Amino acid sequence: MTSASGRSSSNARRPVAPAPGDALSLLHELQVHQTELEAQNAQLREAQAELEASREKYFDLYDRAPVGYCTLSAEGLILEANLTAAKLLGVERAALLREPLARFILPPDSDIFHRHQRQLRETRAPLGCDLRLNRPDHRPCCVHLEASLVDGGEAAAPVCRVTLTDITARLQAEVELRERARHLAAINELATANVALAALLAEAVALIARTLDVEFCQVLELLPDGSGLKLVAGVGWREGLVGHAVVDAGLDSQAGCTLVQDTPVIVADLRTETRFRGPALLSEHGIVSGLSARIGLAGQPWGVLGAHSRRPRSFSADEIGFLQTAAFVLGMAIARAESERTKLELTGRVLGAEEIERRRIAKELHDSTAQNLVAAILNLATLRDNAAARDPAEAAQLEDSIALLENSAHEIRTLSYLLHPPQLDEAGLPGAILHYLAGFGDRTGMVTRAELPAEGLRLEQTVELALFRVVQEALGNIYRHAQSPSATVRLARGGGHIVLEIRDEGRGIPRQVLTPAARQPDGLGVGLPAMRERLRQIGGRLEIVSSPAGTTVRAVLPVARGGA
Amino acid sequence: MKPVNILIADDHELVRDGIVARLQMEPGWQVCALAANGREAVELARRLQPQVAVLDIGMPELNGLDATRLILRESPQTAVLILTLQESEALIHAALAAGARGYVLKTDAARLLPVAIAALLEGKSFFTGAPAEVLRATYLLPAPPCAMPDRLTLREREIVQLLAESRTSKEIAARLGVSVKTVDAHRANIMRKLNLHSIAALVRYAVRNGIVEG
Repeated sequence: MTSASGRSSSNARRPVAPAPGDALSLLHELQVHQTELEAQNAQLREAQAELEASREKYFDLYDRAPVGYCTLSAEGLILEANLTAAKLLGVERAALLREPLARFILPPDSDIFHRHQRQLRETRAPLGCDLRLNRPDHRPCCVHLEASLVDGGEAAAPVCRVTLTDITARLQAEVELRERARHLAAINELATANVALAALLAEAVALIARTLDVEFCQVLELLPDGSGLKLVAGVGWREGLVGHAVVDAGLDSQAGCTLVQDTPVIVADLRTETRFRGPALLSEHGIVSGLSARIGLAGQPWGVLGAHSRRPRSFSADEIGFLQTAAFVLGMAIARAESERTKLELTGRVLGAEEIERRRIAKELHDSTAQNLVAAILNLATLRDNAAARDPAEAAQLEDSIALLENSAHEIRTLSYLLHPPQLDEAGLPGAILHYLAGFGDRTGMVTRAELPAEGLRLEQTVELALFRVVQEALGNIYRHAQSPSATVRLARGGGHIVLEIRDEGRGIPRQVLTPAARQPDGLGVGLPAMRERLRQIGGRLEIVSSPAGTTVRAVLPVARGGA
Repeated sequence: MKPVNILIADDHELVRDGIVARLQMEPGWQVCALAANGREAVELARRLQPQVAVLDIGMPELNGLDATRLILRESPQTAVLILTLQESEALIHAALAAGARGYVLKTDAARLLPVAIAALLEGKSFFTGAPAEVLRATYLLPAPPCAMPDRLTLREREIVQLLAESRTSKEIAARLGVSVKTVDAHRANIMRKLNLHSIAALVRYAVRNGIVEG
């Protein structure tokens, strides 16, 4: 030590009177010892002070560490604990000592802790586990516990050193993330689900309200004239408002402002809000806070997705992003619904135009082509009769021509009939089915059966035509594919529905054939998928049940739509 | 021997001419009149009292079935033969109900028309078409669906056809030789009886009930 050696050197410079003999040298020696002892004493005091400081520093670090520390006896009693541990456990440090740590663990998790302790003592290797704590203030708290055994000194059982890390926030965040991911996945699923738009929006607002933990959520659709926004879907709102209420779309309203803004609009407290007036609809419901995002369609504002609460609250960046994403997803769903509607409309128009065209061709064939053929046949018959006496060969030739033309006339008549059965207009669906079935049986050699309402049945023209096309299509399929000995057509009214069934006893339709939407290239049929579409448009549905024992094609229509 | 007088009514001129040529081959038969619609046919039948009238079904102004009824009223001894391209059980029943004695498909006319007329002249009936189909249909469905309804009088049915052909009350009155007021009264009656409220609905009714072709 420099200070000690410095002092000893200054002592050494002190003049020492030479003493004769041992006494003098002993004195001198004692003086030297005294000096050395004094120096050592000073050193010790300094070391003690340093130790004190270091000890204080250690306890400070120990107590204020962000991690809870405690030492457990072999019996699991808390021997010592830092302040963080006490804070985590929610108890004064003094009250912890000699208490079993197990007491501070939520009962459902105590098994985990006991197993952990047993395993620790068996393997003697450091070991961790996650536990929920049982705090006196009941605040939820989760910790990660990491423990290792250390020697407890002579003859004593080893003690257990434990660190406790608060993972409540982490777990909470994980739960929230999972929750949010789940909800977004649900919204995505909704966006791709094939449900009606109204049902989709209703489900979406409920989901968004749950996710953001707000009492109100709604979708507002901009009216075509831009004068306001209509509440088309919502939760929390007073009964009778959804589907009817219209709110202001002006720039001094939250909804109106949202429409023209690319980012969501946030209102933390409507009562202190200066940008917007609080519309009556919000104040009526006691709403004070809210978050709204624009729903766009093809680059144009379509409406507003909003979430509101009666509590003043702020919205996190995460929540704002979430609502914006939800609005985007809904916008896609709306776009999809719109294009679906357009497609249906187009399909309907195409099918309608096709029917008109078929009818025109049928009429043309019937009124002109077939009549001309009839006239030609009659003329040829006259010529033939004239020639019979003088030129039998010529008469025979004319006879052949007549036969050819008669065939053509029959074909034309059949074609015209297939294109547009006149019976449908005259005798209605049962008559047309009966007639078609008879002709079908003749052409194919199949046994046909008809089960028709005895009292007759008149339906709207479009409905009759659609159902008749189903009969044609289904019978055509039976003939081409089913290898069935028979075909049965049943038409019945009951239970508020018209039911049309075409059954066969054939080999069934292979599964992969049941789905394709392909238009059949052959024949006059447009394919069952088109029929299904057609039926959907007139409010009905088409079902196909197929097994190796036969197939049933069933068209069901609500009777209210079918009444003539 | 007096020739057999035959009346032909068809709105297709070529067909009409073909029938004439065909029938003139038969000795003792004579086409006494040609009509392009049912109304002309009725008027000619009233004047000429033919033994046979060959009528198409789908004709303007007055269809063949209603014309059959009127002809039989004006000339009871006339045998009516329906000659048509249409073939259905309902129509055969309707033709029978109207009083026709025969039904021949135009596509079979070259072969069967003389045979059918000969049968009628002997006082018999003659029905063709696809007998098998008709039989089967009758067997499967005893009551023909939607045969000609009897809710309307013949006069009302005449007016329905003319109205369905877009004719005004004035035109109809002139054609039927009655006053416009009478036509309007009939018209009101028809709408009330059928519970119809528009001409469009009346046209639909006329098509569905075979009074005019769709």
